[in-house]
Amino acid sequence: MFLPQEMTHVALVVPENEVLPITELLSEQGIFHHVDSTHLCPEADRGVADRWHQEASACSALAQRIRDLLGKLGADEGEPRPGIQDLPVIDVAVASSAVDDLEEQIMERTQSLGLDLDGLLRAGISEDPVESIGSTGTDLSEVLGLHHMIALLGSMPTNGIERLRSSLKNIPFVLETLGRSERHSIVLLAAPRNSADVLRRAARSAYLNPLREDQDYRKMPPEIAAIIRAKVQRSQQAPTRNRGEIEGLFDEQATQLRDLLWRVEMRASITETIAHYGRRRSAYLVLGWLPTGNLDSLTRRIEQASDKVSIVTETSERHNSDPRVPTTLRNPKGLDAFEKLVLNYGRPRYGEIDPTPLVALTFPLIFGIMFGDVGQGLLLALVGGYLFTRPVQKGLASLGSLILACGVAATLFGAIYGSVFGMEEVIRPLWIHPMEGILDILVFAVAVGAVVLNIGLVCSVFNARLAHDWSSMVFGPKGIAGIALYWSLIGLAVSALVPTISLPLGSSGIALIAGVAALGILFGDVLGNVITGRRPLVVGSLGTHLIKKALELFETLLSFFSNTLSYVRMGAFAVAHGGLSAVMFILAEVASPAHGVLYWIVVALGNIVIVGFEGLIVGIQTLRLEYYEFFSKFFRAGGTEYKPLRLFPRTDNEATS
Amino acid sequence: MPSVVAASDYGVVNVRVRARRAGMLTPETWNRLCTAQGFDSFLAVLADTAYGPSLQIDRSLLTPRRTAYQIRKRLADAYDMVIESVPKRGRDLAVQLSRLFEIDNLKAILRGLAAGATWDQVRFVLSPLGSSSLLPSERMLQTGDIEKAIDELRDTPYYDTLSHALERYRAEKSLFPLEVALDLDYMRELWTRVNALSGEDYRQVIRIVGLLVDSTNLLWAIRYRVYHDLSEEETINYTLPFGYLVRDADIRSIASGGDMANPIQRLFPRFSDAPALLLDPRSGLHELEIRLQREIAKECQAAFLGFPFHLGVPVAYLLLKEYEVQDIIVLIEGKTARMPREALEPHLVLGMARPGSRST
Repeated sequence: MFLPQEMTHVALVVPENEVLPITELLSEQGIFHHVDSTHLCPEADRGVADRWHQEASACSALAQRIRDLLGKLGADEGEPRPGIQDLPVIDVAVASSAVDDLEEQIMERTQSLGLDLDGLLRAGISEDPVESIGSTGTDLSEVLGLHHMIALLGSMPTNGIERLRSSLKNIPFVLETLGRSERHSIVLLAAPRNSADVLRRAARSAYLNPLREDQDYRKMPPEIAAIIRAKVQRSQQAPTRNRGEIEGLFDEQATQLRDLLWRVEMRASITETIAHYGRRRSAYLVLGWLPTGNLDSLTRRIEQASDKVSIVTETSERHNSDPRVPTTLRNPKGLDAFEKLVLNYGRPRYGEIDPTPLVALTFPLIFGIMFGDVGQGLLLALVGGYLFTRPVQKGLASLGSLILACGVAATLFGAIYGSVFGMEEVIRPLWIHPMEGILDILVFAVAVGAVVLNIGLVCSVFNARLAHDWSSMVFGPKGIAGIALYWSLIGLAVSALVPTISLPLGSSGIALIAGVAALGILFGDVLGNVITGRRPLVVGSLGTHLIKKALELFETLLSFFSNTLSYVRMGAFAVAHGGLSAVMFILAEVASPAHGVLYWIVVALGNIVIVGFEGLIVGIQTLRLEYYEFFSKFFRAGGTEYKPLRLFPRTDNEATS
Repeated sequence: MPSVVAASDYGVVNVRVRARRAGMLTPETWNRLCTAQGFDSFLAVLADTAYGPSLQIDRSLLTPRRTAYQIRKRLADAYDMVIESVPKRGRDLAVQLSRLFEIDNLKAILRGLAAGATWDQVRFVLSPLGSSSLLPSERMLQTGDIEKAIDELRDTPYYDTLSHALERYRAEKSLFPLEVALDLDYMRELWTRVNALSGEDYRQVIRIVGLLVDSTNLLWAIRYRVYHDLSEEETINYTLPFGYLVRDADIRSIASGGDMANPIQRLFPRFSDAPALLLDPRSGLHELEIRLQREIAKECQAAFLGFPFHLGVPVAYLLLKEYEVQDIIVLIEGKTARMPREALEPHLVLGMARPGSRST
């Protein structure tokens, strides 16, 4: 939990004819973090990578074409069906040909749909079709019962009919010319309702003027009425499908298209990965990382798949300072929110502590100190609990756990401060009311801050030990010497401010420790080089080195002072919280001196405002103390995210976002 | 024998056209016009050209707008001359070419009506039309209403198109559908008349008018996509399904969001910077339009070479004259705004010619 997962570096040499199945295997396993190795291949082999890139682009273009087709059928992409990864990796040309075939089937069915449309027309047409059509407005679908289609009847320029037909090639449609003159024609245009927008835009831009209600259709040229009657009679003779069949007309094609889409996406993902492999002659060099615990299972799977693949592994030591080693954090589910806070600042490197568990302790603690109130804390905890257990929106579950933890801490400190919804007479404080012991609260806050900072310094020592940086660990300003200096300065400050307190070793002893620690920091590099045997002892001139170290020491002292004092704001906010509550009651008193209903309404509203407004401000201040004061002591960040290869990267990203 | 017939048919118009072509502006004159300091100097240079007689009105009346109007009269004369001189089989095409100015005038009148302009505000914006004009421009503007103005066109070929498109105007309260309907109708009729030609007439005319139709169609498709953000089906319906070298697939590709530069580079390999031009279509489109017009101008000039007795010669002359007038109007506006030569030259089709180079 305190350290990222141990990683092993893996190098595979894969023969050319095995690269597709091996890459598919690596993607399917979902544990292999791939590293680009194209820089290792000679220039002559770079063209192969370009071919893989082009194939990946072709796959992406084909996938988009399939998505467009699905969109036109009103079908969604769905999810990859179980077992699809067991199918062989599809060839782009084969997939493209399959899409062509499906497109052709769809067009054929669309044309047969045109004949079916005639049949459906008769459902709502009386014996005098002209009168029926004349009784409606622009949209015939209501009268004709075409609930899944949209139909328009109107006149348009004759010379635009073919252009209109060609503009609608992307959707299934029917365009029937019911009457034609040299300049204008009466046409019937229909399409599935999910293509209504496209149909209307095309009709409008083709200057198709729908026939109006006030037009007397009995005065239509007799030949047009005859055409409509003839169409109706013809459709009455032809067998027709029912509405349900038409609505499901493209289900089979949609299913096949979905399958093709996910297989093409697989291919795209695999070829894009291969494009980043190194290559020498007829073999591919695949480099990457995976958690050490998964190494055996992957090795076995590779060996089962092929005996021609060479595998070289090396488990990475923690003192590996290479930031490219990917890190994956191992925190329990309940710490998600705190992990997100840490990742917001930066990703821990492979060779340093994951601060998430520490943040899970310190964040609520600091929040609770600043926001101590039993009632308001419980309210926050309730809200947090609700969001955590029943997330109303994706991503709010982790926020819920954060609010819950802060609410619990605020409740505890509310008991310590003796405050319930701002009222300080309901319960006795376990310690003091902040407004009655301001100095005590401030001193307490500084003391808590000193402890938190010290935890940070200890983490820094641990990180230095992990990195085998013995010089920093012992003599660094954030090492053992720094801790000694920090505590000795605190001791001296305490003995100066509170002379009655007697410290172990006495003031002079502590001053000596401080002096030794300061000297240790000042000459830390030199001493470190002496111990490790590194030469020269000083790089550059001694004088420059000493000036630089003296300035560093001064900066260290300043940062100790400023960082420690920064925590006094915890106490200040605790006092301010009490002060805000006092103002709320004053306003309630003004609103209703007799403590009637209005009084309690103001108190309730005031509590809501304090919880929302001050809660937000306190949260921001807590974050600042964590990020700036605490993290700056030990957390370098800059780690690389562990992103294993996946067969369907897009869906996996959406699932985790 | 066909040559003799052609010579007799086109002899007169050839002579007239070549004589008038000799009076077109030379590179030296263009240079003087471009370098003229201010509008007055510009007028002085122009007065020494074939346009001089058109400028012989009271100097106080010669505002930039009025000057442009007077210049356009020469174009109207040119069309009149050609329409009168060409044989019957070419007359329909020449008339249709002249109708482009009627279309422009119609649009100007409709815009004037929409803006509530008076006849005096609009009259000198209109192109003077020749004797073949059918437009009752003043009467239309005096109606004060677009629907009534369209009613005045009952006896013209434009009535049917505009009255049908009026539905769209009523629904959208925009002149766009009216103007597009006019443009589409014009181009369809022009294409019909070109395809009604045969033999050498067709071969010569199609190279010029075909290029004109192609470039118009391409620019429409690009403009609809870039400026109007129209959908694929709208762009297809608002463009032409035919062309000389531009295929419908090119237009459909632009309509569906494909590469705009590809068809241009295919047709004009010289336009190797088309992708860069269209990187910012809003600024590059005008430059593209000018360069396409220059290509058309080159085809027009080529029509004067070789066998002379065909419809291509007068058609080429009319288009060259149109570009000359267009360039002069650009210079009028530029000189009025005191723009330097360098700023004006990119907007000129013929006026880029330098002294010492071949004249038109």
